[in-house]
Amino acid sequence: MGGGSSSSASSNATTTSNTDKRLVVSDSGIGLSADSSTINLTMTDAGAVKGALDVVRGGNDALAANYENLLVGTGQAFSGILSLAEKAMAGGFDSLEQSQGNVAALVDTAQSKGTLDNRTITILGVSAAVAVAAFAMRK
Amino acid sequence: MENLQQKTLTIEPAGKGAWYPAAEKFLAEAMQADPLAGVEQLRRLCQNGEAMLYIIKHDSYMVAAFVLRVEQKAGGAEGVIVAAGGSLPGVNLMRATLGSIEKLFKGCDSIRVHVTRKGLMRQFARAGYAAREVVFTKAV
Repeated sequence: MGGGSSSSASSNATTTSNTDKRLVVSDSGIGLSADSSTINLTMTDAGAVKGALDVVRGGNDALAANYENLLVGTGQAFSGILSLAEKAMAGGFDSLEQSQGNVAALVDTAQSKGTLDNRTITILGVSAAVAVAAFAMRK
Repeated sequence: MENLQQKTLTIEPAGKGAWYPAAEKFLAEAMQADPLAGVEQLRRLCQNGEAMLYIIKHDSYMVAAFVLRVEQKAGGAEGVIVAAGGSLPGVNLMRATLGSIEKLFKGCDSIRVHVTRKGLMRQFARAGYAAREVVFTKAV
């Protein structure tokens, strides 16, 4: 509202109902309604959400470092996979068989380092949540 | 989710020609952006029947107020959100109530609102409003 401060956008369900159907002002049907309206808002507990985001924000530096490491690690793993695949194609079926073994070993390594498992998705998800929180705070 | 809260807002018209002094504190903040008018002008408009005061209540407490009027023009009628102000912790009142406020205009072809805060400009733009003109002023 003009002049007021409102920062939360947490409402996720709104229903309205109107009563007292009277029209005021004009005979032509143009004017202002004297209806009373009821608006029901269902929202999350702003304090709980803020607390959760603070926890996320507090660990943000560590998450950012981990995320960067994961990206680097994943990139290296994929580079290795692509490089080996190219060599395998050029070297024929014999070398392909050997390369497949190397690729499998690289994937195993990547999985053991946590670069290709569900943790990658989880950390990406947390990063997205932080970005959304920052956007909300700018409002 | 366990942390859901339910809040109920009620929009009530003051009635034709009526004015609530308790609404002035909400409207005064909005009227600070208008150098040529204040709450007193709003009160006169409402008491003359040229505009109408509405209040927004939460749990029977007034949390916001706004004033509406309708301008009849050659090309049709335009509803005007003259002033609005208020706050409720945890609730974006504009987002929550704008749809209901728009429905209070009957028979209007368009709705107009004058906004000075950039945040509100963005919110009105998201709600489908577009700038029709830009007002420049210069102190003389």
